Amino acid sequence: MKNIKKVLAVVLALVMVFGLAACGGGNTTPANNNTAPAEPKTVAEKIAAAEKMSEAELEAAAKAELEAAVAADAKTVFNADSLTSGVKKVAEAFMKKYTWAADKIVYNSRKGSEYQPVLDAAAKADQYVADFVMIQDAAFLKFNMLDAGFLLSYTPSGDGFKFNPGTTDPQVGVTFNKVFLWNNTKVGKDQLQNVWQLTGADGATLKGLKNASVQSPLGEDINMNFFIMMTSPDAVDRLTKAYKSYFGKDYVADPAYKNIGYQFLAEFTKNVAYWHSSDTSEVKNIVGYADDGRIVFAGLAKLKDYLGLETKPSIEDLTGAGWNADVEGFSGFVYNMWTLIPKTAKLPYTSCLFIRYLLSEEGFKAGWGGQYGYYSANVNNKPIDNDKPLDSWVKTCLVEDVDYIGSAYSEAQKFIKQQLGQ
Amino acid sequence: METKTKSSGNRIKAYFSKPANVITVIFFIILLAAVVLPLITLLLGSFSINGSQEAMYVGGGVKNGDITAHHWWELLFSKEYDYAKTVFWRPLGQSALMALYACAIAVLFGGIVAWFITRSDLPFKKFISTVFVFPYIMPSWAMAMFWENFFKNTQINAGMGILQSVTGICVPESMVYGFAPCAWALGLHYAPFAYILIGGILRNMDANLEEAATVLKASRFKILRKVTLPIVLPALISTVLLVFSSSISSFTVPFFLNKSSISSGNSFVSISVQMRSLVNSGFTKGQGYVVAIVLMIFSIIILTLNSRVTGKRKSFTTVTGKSGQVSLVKLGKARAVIAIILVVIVAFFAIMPLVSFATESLCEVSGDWSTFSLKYWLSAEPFEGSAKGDTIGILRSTILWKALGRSVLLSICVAFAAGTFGLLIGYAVAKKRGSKLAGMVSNIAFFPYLIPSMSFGAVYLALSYTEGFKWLNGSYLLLFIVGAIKFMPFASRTGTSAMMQLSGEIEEAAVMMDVPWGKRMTRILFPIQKSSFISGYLLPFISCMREMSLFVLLIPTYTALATTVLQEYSRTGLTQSANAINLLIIVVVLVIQFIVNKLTGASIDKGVGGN
Amino acid sequence: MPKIVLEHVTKRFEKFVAVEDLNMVIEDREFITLLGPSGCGKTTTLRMIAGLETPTEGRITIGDTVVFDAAKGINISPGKRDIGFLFQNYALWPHMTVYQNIAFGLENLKWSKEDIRKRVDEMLAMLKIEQFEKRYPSELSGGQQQRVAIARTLAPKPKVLFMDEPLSNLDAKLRLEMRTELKRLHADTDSTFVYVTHDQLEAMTLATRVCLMKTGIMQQYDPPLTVYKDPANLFTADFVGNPTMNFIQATARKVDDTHAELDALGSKMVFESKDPLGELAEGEANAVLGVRPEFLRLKSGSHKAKVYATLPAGMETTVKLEAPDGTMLTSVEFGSVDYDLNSQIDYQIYGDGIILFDKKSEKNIGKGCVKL
Repeated sequence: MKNIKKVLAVVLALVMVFGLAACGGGNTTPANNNTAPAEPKTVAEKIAAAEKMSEAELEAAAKAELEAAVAADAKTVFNADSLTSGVKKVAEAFMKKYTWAADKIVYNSRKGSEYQPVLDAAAKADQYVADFVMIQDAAFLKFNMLDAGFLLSYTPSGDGFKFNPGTTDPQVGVTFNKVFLWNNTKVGKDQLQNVWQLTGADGATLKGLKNASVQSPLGEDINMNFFIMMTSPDAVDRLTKAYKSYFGKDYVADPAYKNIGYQFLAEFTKNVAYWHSSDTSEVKNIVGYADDGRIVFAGLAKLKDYLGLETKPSIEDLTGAGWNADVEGFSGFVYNMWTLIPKTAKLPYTSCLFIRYLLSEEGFKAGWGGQYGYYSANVNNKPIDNDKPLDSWVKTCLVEDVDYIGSAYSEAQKFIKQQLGQ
Repeated sequence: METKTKSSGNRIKAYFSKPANVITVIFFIILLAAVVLPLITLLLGSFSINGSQEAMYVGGGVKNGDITAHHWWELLFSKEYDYAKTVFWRPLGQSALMALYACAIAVLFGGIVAWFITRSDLPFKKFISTVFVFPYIMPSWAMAMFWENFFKNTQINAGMGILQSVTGICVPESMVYGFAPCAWALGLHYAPFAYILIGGILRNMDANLEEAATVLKASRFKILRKVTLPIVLPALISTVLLVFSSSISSFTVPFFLNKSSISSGNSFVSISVQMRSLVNSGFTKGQGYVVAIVLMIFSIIILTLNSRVTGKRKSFTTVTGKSGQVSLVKLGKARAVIAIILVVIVAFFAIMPLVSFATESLCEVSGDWSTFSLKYWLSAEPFEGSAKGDTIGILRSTILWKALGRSVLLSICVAFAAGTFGLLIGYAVAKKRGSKLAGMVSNIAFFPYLIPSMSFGAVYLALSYTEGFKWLNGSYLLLFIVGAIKFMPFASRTGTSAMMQLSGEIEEAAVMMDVPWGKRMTRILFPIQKSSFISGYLLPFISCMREMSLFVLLIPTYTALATTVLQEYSRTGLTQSANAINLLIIVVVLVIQFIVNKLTGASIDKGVGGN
Repeated sequence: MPKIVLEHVTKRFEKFVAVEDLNMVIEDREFITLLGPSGCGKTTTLRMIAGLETPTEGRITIGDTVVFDAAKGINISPGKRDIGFLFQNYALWPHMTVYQNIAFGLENLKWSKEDIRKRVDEMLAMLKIEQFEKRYPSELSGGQQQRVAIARTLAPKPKVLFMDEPLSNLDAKLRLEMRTELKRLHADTDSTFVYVTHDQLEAMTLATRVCLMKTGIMQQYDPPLTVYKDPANLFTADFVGNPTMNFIQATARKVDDTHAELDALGSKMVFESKDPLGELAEGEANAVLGVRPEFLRLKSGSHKAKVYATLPAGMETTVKLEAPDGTMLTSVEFGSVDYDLNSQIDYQIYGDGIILFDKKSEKNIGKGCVKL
């Protein structure tokens, strides 16, 4: 029934539009075409226009756009699709601030691997999917979305907005990191100093660690990217230096491996003691393990689940003053989540305003404030006190590099799967 | 000329005057469209470049949309880092073996229980048959989770499990993670399914067939081997087929239970995990399709085997009205022992996971009763530390109740459609036994089950973005269509076997009295095999209630269905709420099953003989 | 030699009593039919003797072996009772060929391959189904299936053969043919046959003795002709014989041991029994006079009736009469005769095979002749 109504509504709307156009057609003269600069029509044009607007102008444009859309179809809403629930909180704060958008912003939780086919299908058919999309996976974004021109980027400007180079096209929203976490009361605070310890090999001074716990890259795409990045030139550099410092001698290339990254990967995967199935529950369980505990590779943001527990050892046992965020080699992996607008968006000005708000101090606080492991692309927004700034993480971690992943994927994934399939 | 066209016209008219023919033709067309479409999409995908990411992976200047044999070649023959071997051949072999073990466990366990329930004087039948189907109502990973929680131990540094905390026994790692536990978890999950299918046949089977052998001095064992088994063989093979294809493509269980380190030698990477990894990455989608197709070919081989073994010649002779007097085998002294063993085993695998769901939903830290809390059920306040604003106690969450309502409604509609389709297909196949078209319809009806859920969903997702079908996008109608087609195989199997056992004369008697076709179906055929048909409705219902991966691409938002809310909560770390929802879904299914039982007198277990 | 003895056998299904306190002796080489309307407990009785059903109480002996004794807890499995069983729906195994079906029982007896071959061939020839040897049951007609079922049952040469309405699924012609075959078979095989049927004609023509049952209780157990000529009660009298016996309502009064005055069909009569009369309840309409159609002679006699219908069948003709008081009567005459409908006709109750029943107890209280 509902669908029939929908279809009827669409048909009626179309009839009206065509009817009006036909009526209008008779009255307008061709001369009109030459007057006044062209109104922005496509989403791309509107984004370009929005980038030149002040906040007040953008708000006015968004408000007018939303009101017009609602007038045409009362059911119109602004769809914000993302894997991160921070967007939901941003949306709630947004509606409080811009009261004219109340009840019109809808957050849809879409998991990455399950959302990509949806975006693909929408892109292929050039169809509406959402007004705002916040996604991860650089390779997918670049090759399937940006290159195809389906997702467009908007960068806010003005006071309070400051972005590092390379984070605006496409526009990064929030950056995440995945690091090695452990319970200091079980695993000594200073245990992990050098990434080569994770291969299980005993260096001159430090013990090899045999209790790493990682989610399998076969099920977790971010980890696959992390593993692939271990073979990148940057990683090769870091690993070679760390090798010398750990073993006290220069690295001698092993002909069995393409580079030191491949060798590290092989030894590291062999030494992983436990392939957990969920970062979340693993971080929660980190308290419970007896003896030497585990060194869990998980999103730093997962600490929020740990914090949710009422009975817990002091957070210092895991983080803040306690942790070593400067492991020789690398401490973990840094990757982005981009804030983008599909070219089929119905409310592009509102999309721009939404992104602007998300990147503002107020918006970031609403979405991710007070939590570990979330770093706004707007460098004016500071992370939680005990956390380190993004600049520091970028220095100590491997960073997702879409061009490297694109070029190395074929070979590296084969190698990784060979290691995992033994 | 004119007379010729007239006579052929008459022939067509005559052909379509028989409802069985009409049904056959209609379903042939529907199934062709609904099943062949995804098949072709998969096949095309496996032979073309799917997106620029894949073009980059393949290299050599290919573009998006180009035709290529690269995916097949790469996956089947690439020697670079033993790629074909590690990603395809070895996992395929191991997974096939694992699936076979799972089938053996399911068929043996389910079959034996079905035999005891239908053919012996076992006490506590009601209890066993009611409780035995529980594991099938739960998602398959629930059994895997229970398996881990039960057997894990500190010796393998996995925390203390139930067994260890109660008895102090530490089982070896290979019993907790890897190949064997996967086979067990899947086997136990699908055992109720085997029980339902085999039990249905056993119950409907003419007891005289076994009695005739008894009188001719065949031993119990020989009767089982030479008479009972060959007759339930079609049901057995159907079971094996369904369990095999479900097991081999099950992702959650092997992913969940593959936690052993690589150096332990206990690591088991299944073909489904490899497939998921391939499909999820934009670089290797086409290779993922190749795996999906190969898995289907496996199932098709079994399907062909099935129709070979149960050729027309050996088909059931029809049952006359006189098989009511089933004499139950006296178990004698073993009666009590067998009953106790069965009750314990069944209760263990069926009730313990429920208990573990309950306890998990009541403790803030898993297994730690000092953190007991009812908040995940009852809290009206959003949880502290949780990122979500809408996460309140599930019993107070309108989001969840609405989602649950939609799940139930969707499942009822899907079950009604799938069940009715299955019944009609069964009717047409039974009526037109031996006709090629009918055989084809019956086989195609099986296909939706063999296509991996995610691929199936993806095809319909793409369809909903296609001109002319856009009105389906994001609608519940699409979920309904996909569900009805996907779950039809259950119903068409039960429908066919039930119809096969009805003598044609039963309907012919009504034809003679000029009873219209609709009335014949609803007033005569349906009531006679009611319990079989109702289970043909209940199976899709249950499967639909706990289905997730099929719908996940098609729903507009996670709040759409109970299972997607569950998945969302478990993804965002609200394991307690997720467990609570799981329990709630099971309870809802049981309640609905109970209502159906009260209203119609039929139920899944009753269809087997648990009264 | 197998003689089957049933002592106080009772079978209860929860609340419903299927067979009550049945006592019966089946002598060696007898052909017994268990006869009665459906639901009378005849199949249950058969299945209990065969061991397919467990009696609630009682004792069953086959030959010298007690195969069932509720008190002693003896219950020998059907396979060890040395019997054959022919099922109503034949119960042929659909997945085995005709040959395999017949050979199955012999294999269980551990016969050698050649012996099995020989015996199966013998059975195939005997039942004239040689050409179907390699077929599956679904490829045979009902009659052919039936023969295969018989062959399968007879192949191991059982001493006792149980049959549960084996002919009920066949058409009339085939049924007649198979009946003859069965009777020959009984003579040829030296076995004891126990045969369940609801068809009285089948029971009469086949059996050496008929056991009539009603609602779980045995009504009469006698040779067929005895059952026909001297039915124990109204039920057996009514059940056996085609066309059925005429039942004439009467008021009877005992005159002496062997004589009773009757008031029936509007006239006074005297019933003269050969043996002393049984117990007769006092009162109006207290008796029923049972007259077989062949003892109702037309065209002479002092009774008058109207011709209601004539049903010629060639060899004999059944004539339906309507007595003045409305009672419908049936007469059978040899040959083809025809009467005008509604014409008045005289008739007489003739011969000494007339039965007098007590209406209350429904029992046969005397057999003799009727005089005016």
